[in-house]
Amino acid sequence: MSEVLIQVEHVSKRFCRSLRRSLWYGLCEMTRDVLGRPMSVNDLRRDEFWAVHDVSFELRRGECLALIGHNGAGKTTLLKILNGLVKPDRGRVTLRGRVGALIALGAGFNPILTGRENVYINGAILGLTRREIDASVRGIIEFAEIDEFIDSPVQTYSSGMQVRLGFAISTALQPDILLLDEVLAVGDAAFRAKCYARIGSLLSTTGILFVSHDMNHIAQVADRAVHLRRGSVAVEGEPLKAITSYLEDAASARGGSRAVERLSAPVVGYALEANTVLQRGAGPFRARLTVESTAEVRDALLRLVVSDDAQVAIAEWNSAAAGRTVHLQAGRNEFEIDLGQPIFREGNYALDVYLYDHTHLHPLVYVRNKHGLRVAGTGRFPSPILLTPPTTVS
Amino acid sequence: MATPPLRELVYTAESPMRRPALLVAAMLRDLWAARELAWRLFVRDLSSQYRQSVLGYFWAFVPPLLAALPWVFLNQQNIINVGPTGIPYPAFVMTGTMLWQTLIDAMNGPLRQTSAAKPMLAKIRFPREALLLAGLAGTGWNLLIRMSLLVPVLAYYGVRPSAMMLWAPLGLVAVVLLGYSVGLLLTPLGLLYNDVGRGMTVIAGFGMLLTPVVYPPPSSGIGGFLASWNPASPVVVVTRDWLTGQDPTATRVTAADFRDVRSLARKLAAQADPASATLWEVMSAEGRGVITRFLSDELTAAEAGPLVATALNRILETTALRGRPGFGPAVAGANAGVEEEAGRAQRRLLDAALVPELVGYRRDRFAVGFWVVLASSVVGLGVGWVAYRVAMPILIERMGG
Repeated sequence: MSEVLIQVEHVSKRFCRSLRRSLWYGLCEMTRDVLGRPMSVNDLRRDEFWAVHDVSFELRRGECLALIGHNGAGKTTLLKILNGLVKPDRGRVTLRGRVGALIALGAGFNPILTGRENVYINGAILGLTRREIDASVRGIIEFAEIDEFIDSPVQTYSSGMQVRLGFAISTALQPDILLLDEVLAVGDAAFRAKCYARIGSLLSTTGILFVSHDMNHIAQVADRAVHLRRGSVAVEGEPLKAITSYLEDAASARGGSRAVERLSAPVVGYALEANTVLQRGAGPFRARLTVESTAEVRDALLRLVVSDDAQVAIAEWNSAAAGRTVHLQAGRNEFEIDLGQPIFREGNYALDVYLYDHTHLHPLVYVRNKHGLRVAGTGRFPSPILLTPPTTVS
Repeated sequence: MATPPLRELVYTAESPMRRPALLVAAMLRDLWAARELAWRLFVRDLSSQYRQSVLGYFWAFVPPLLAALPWVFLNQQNIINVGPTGIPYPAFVMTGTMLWQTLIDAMNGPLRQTSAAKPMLAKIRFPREALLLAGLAGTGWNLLIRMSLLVPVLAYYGVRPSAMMLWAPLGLVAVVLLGYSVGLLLTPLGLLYNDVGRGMTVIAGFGMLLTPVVYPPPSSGIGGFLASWNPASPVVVVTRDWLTGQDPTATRVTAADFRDVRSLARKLAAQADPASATLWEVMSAEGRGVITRFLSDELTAAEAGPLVATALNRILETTALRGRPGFGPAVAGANAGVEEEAGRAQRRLLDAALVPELVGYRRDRFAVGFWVVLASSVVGLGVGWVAYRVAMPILIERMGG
């Protein structure tokens, strides 16, 4: 077993909702700390809540731990505590070795100075000596792919260029511990791929803790994951277990409140029946759609779209693609649709219904995020889509 | 594998003050680790400050000059008259405003530097001492620019180099330290509440008038009280003396001494008693003229200096007549008291050595005050540094970003 690099023991942190009161508490805490008085943080004061509550975990060298949770679940706060920026109110954090943190890329870039000058400043901030920066400046510029701009002021850089430069500097540190906060959400796909490669090459000597909302990425890269729910650890362990727990939360949080349902004349009513709990890679996956119309629509287009937690469409059944003509009669119309097998990953989805008047390109039924869909399974196949062709290759 | 043991970092809720030895060790380690970054931040601030401007370093030189000019103008037009200053007023006021600006610059430094670094502080872990050192270096740089302006001004107004000027660096250090330690102590509070920053701006303008910056310290009244108890007074007064080559501890004629001479002259001129009357009668016409002018109150302080000396000489000359034939014992007897009084006043004036440069205050108390303020500033700097470190995580939590 390799050595433990991060040890988090029962760490809690409270935050205050009211700014004015937060400043006052800050003044009290500062006074108390400067006077060296012992603390008493057993209770929440007025307007406070636990931003991080009783969190414990470990990270070893060579391990990659993902931190997932909704906005405000305490991920960034936890990273800030780990990076020594913020004090815990309870508990203990132990870090061993050199810490590299990318909580914000490009913080400390001065827009007026050139890229090269900023490399030296940021390197110094991250604790590199002048000699170390001299030795790695070439590699940093190459990695960031900004060779021709390195002597221009940073304010002329695009945001992607700034991110590239920041990432290149931070990883030049050769850290024992690397803390990554959603920094790779910016930057184009090619550079992101390059960053993942760099992270992968660091992983042999480093313990990595990262925050991401990209479940695909987590499922591929992480060895373990922690799902934070309102500051507390909901699930810790196998990435897919944590992801499932996170997606369930997302589904229940979605509820019906964000559902969009719009019907246009001549359609006056609709209903959808579908099996809501599915087994991954196994049928049946059928839907029955009932549409009430006051007039005839000769040429209509029907789409049934499966969208994921982030409301990104990931699969669809399209009447045109299926070669079916949709013809609405005045009165009640019923459509039976066989959707085959759910081949996408376990999790929560929505089944959205779109019916268009194809002649006038005008939506008749527009229903999003209303019908929940849950795909269950073993969780052993992390890829987003599992190919299960009906016949196996001989 | 023979790798060195990994450095261990532990973060808990406990106040770092509970383990003072660890705290001091960490402070010194971070201070050492911060020097490279501090230098870079200093160079960054400096180069970015002037890069986006056409006039560049022009802006470094003009404000210090402009700060002194109004006072010189007002004084030349006789709109304000601050009394004797020992050296020409333009040199005096330029030295004073320069010192005051340095004090305020040093005081604003830590809060300004830390506020500007908020986004960095909230996201990156680095030795915070770098910010403090960079701020201090910035203050030092501004001070150098001001000094390079001051030296030609002093030379132009005939201030001669003297050994006293060797003390000037210590005085400048004291000015910077006083401002910096006050600013540092206020920084944690100032990062929470912006009232502190606003208050400091007000003090910068208002405090200059309550400190003997553009006028010599008054010896009495509310002004005298303020000049004695305002901690900025001794460092400004003593450092100005050193910069302009004067000895701040020299015994000078005080306003009280000046009053002694005046009351003696008034007694003679008014012929208040028979002895004075006799003396007034035997005094030469020139002597009487000098004393009358001296009492006329139509004189500036600079003119009064030599006149006091001459008036005393005339009085002494007259009293010396008592031994001459033709003057009766009555005169001789009357003279004895006056002579003693006049002799005492004259000795004091001679002690002052620079009779034309009578300065109406006693400076030795400022010399004592200087050392007290310097020592307090050093203590304040240490306390401020500890408070800054200890408070920083609590402040970062409230910085956002």
